[in-house]
Amino acid sequence: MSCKELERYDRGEMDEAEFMRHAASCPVCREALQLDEEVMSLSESLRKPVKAPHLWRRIEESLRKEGAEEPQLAQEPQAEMKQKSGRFSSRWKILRFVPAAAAFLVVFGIGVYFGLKSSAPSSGLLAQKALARVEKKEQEYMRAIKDLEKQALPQMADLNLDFVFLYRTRLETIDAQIEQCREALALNPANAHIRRYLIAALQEKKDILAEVLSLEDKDTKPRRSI
Amino acid sequence: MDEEVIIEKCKQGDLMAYRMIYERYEKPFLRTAFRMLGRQQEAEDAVQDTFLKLHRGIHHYRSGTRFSSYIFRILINSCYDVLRKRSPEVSLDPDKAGEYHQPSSEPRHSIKEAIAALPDQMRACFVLFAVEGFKQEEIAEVLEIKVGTVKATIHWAKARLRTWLSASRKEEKE
Repeated sequence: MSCKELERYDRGEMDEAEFMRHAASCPVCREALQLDEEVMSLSESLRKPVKAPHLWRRIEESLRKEGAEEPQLAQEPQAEMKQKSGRFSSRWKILRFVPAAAAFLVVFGIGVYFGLKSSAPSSGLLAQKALARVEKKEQEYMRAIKDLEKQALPQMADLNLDFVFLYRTRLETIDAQIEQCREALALNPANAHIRRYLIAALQEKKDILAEVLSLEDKDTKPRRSI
Repeated sequence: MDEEVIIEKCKQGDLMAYRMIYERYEKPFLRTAFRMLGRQQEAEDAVQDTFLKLHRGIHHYRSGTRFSSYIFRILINSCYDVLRKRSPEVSLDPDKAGEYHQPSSEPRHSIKEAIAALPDQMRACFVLFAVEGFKQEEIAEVLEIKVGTVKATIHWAKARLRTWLSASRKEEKE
C-alpha cells in the first residue's frame, strides 16, 4: 500500500476533504479509507462492559476512611422544607418547636439508617426474582399508605396547628426521601442499597400516618395542644 | 437527580452521592481504564483511586467545567500513575510506554492488542474517541491539550491501526 498522497494525509499535510477527492480516483487510498472504517468499527466493538462486582464496596470503604459519610437522610430536604413552609403563615417561623423538630428528624434519619444497616444484606445488586419481590413489597406499602392517607389527612385538620406542623414536616421529609430514592432507582433499578432506603422511607411514612390516626383514637378532642 | 445536586452532596461528603456518580460512570470508567492498562486489577485500582482523588479535590471543582471531563481527567491521570509505577522501564514517553503492553516485534492478533500498543496519550485519545464516543473538544478538555492536537493524535492512531490491520490481513491470506 503506497501512495504519496496517503503519506501526506497521514502526516497531516492534507485535509480530509482533499484526501476524499483524491481517494475517489485512487484504489490505494480507497482501500486505506475502508481500513480506517474497519478500525473504527472494530474499536466500537470494544464497548463491552468490564465487570467489577465488588469494586464499589472497595471504593466505599476507602471513601469512609477518607471521611465521607452515609447520607443523613432527614437532614437533606431541610432547605426545601423551609421553602415549602413559607406558604404557611409567618408565625411558624417563630415557633420554638422548629429546632426540636429538626433535631428529631436528624435522629430519625440516623436511626433509620443504622436500623437498616444492622439487618440488611450487603449485596449491591438484586437478582431478578428478589427485585420482583422487593417491588411487590413496595407496591403493598404504597397501597397501605394510600388507604391511611385517606383517613389520616382529613383528621390532621382537626389537630392543633403545632401538631399539624410536626406531622406535615415529617411527611414532607419522608416524601422528599421517597422522591430521591425513586430518582436514583430510575437510573439503577437493581440497586439494593437504594431499595432498602426506599422501603425504610415507605415504612416510616406508613407509621407516621398510623400515628396520626392513633392520636385521634385516643383523644377525640379537636385542636389540642402538644 | 441533577448532576449539580449530586456534586453538591459529594462536596458535603455524602457517600450516596458518590455512589450515584459511580453508577453513572462505572461502565465507561472501567472500559477506559482497562483499555489504558490492559489488566483488570489495575483498571479497578485506577477507578478506586479516581474516587479518592475526586473526594479530596471536589471542593476545587467549579460548575463552569464539564463534570464528565473533570472526572475523566482524574481517571486518565490515575491510569498514567499506574503505568508510571509499573516498572522502571515503563515511562510516559509516547514512543516507549506502549511497548509495555505488546512489544512491537510480536504480532498483534486483535484490535485490543493493537490499541494497547499505542503510546499512552495516543491510546487515551483514541480510546475516548473510538470506544467511548467522546467528541474531540471533550477529549481536549479531559487531556488538557488543544483540539488540533487531539485531531492529529487520533489521525496518527488511525494510521497506525490501519497499518496493523493491513498487515494482519496480508498475514491471514498467506
